[in-house]
Amino acid sequence: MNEISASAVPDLKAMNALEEKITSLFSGQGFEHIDPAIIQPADVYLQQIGESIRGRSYVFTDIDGQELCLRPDLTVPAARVFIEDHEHYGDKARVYYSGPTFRYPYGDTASDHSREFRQAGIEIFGKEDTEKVEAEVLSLTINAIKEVGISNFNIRLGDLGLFDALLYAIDMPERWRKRLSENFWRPEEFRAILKQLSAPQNLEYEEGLRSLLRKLNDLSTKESEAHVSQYLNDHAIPLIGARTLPEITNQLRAKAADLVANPLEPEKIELIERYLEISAPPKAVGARLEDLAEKSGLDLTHALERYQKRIEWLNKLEVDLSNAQFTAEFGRNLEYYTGFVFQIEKQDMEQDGHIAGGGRYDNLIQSLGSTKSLPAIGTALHLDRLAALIDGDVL
Amino acid sequence: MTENLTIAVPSKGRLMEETSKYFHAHGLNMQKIGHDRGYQGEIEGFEDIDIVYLSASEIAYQLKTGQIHMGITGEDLVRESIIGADQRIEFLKQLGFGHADVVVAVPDCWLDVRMVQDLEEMAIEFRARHSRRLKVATKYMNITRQFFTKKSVAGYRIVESLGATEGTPMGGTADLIVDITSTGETLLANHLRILDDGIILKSQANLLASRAADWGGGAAEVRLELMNQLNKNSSADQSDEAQDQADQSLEEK
Repeated sequence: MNEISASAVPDLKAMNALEEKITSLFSGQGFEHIDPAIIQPADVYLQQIGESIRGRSYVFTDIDGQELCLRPDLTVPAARVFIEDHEHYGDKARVYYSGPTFRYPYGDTASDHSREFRQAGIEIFGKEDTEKVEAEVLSLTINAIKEVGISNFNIRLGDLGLFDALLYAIDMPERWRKRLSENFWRPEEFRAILKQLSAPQNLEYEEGLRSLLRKLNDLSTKESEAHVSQYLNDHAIPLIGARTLPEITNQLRAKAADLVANPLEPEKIELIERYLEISAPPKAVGARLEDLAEKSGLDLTHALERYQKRIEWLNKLEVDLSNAQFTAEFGRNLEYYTGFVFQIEKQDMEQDGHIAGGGRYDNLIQSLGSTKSLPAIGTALHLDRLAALIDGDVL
Repeated sequence: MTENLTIAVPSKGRLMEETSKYFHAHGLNMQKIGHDRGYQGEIEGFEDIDIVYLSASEIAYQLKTGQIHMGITGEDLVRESIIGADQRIEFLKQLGFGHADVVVAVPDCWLDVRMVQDLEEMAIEFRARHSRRLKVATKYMNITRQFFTKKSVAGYRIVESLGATEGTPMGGTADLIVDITSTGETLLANHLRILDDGIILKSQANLLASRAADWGGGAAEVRLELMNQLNKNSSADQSDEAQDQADQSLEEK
């Protein structure tokens, strides 16, 4: 077990100076300072990100039995502030924050400062010009990094919306699309599903269930439910728990449909694979996509327009994209991103050692309990990593 | 000055009895020192060994911290309470008692869910319809998390359950469970079914050594002596059977 060092920051003076530079930049741009709670209800994260959060953060039970956690990021806490102070913000807000976040440090080389680390960042809630605000957030992130004296870095870009657009342009059963889309952020699982869909479905069910499934394909929903209900009765299986007969029947019908469905055609799989292989300078991606769409006869016009519009805005804001790479597979490992994503990496850093990252997360506000569905986008900078870089570079 | 080798054994119940029997079968007599209700013991003829009686879960914890050199407890508790158990603990011997399977069980009426993979497919629909993730009741939070990660299941969350876990799906506090079972009768009575690939761990009592303990001052030598004794007198042992089970259990992982 690692020793826990007494100080949260190796060089407090340097850290304060760094933090000051970045936060004044944010406030100078009109962002409002917020101070989200360090202790958060664990429930919120378990619901948003899932059980994996327990494996990498500090979830605990207090003496009253409530499950809490030390915030593992600042995006969810900031979004909660926005929702809670709805009267103050209305439907729009631009906020910044700076403070500690907490994650369980994995591996022998993990330092204390990967257990408790500082992040400064911004979040923009509410409806804005989509591509313009995306370019703005990336531009501001880069400016903040330059502001503290770091100029050697790479930019990695991705777009989950683009992938969804591709998926919806390809003809396949809706339930397959959903599975692929839901698993985009997990590359290994994604590949496994793709492989599974490429072959005839084979269910290792016992004969009784098999014959039930075969019947369902020729029946209406209502008739199917009656058959499933009959099957449960015949086998003396009571219906318990939250799932209803229609829900169970519905899933069985999906499986039944899969049993007789034609496998996903090799051309479609190749198309998805070819998209995921795209890794190119951002300005070259448009042509690659057009080429892909043309050859496969897909309509990606709308998605392409939005992509180009974002590039135009990045140009207008004079964002230097010479060290940028668009990687189709880049989707971040947090489940709540929905569209444009980016990461700033030190040139010689390993992949998870990024110094800043962010993106669009349009579903979070509503799923955190807001009555309105409002888009959102944000960025966070890793102050400890920036401080370590300045220490090494400048001195 | 020599350091004694500390071995922790379960302080009560069948695990304690079986441990005592196991030692006895290998020509080692374990007995308490002082008061019968005390928690200290010894092994006759082994002056360099201290026996301490602890609860089964405390044994796992103290092996992790290195307060004890060796211990006997269930593999389920070790894997649950020690992250990266294989790096931090030596699994020396499967002892052939204290059998219990840690399993994933779902309501029998979920005809569409036979394999762990079905769970993930269904979880997407479930979340859309119920605006929440599937709830898994268990006291094995870490084992559950690791297993589902390995099986690529993400659409769930755990509700901690410290007792009567099998009743939670019927009671409505959870949708499915991860729990231990030996005969499966309680599962049946609560209309639950183990998934076809839902056996997470075939657990049994293990003889374990801590890698965090201080093995200097003669402790390592005493351990060698003890292990020789346990390996030598295997007449009363079901060693072949124990080995089979060990292999089987490893395959499950």
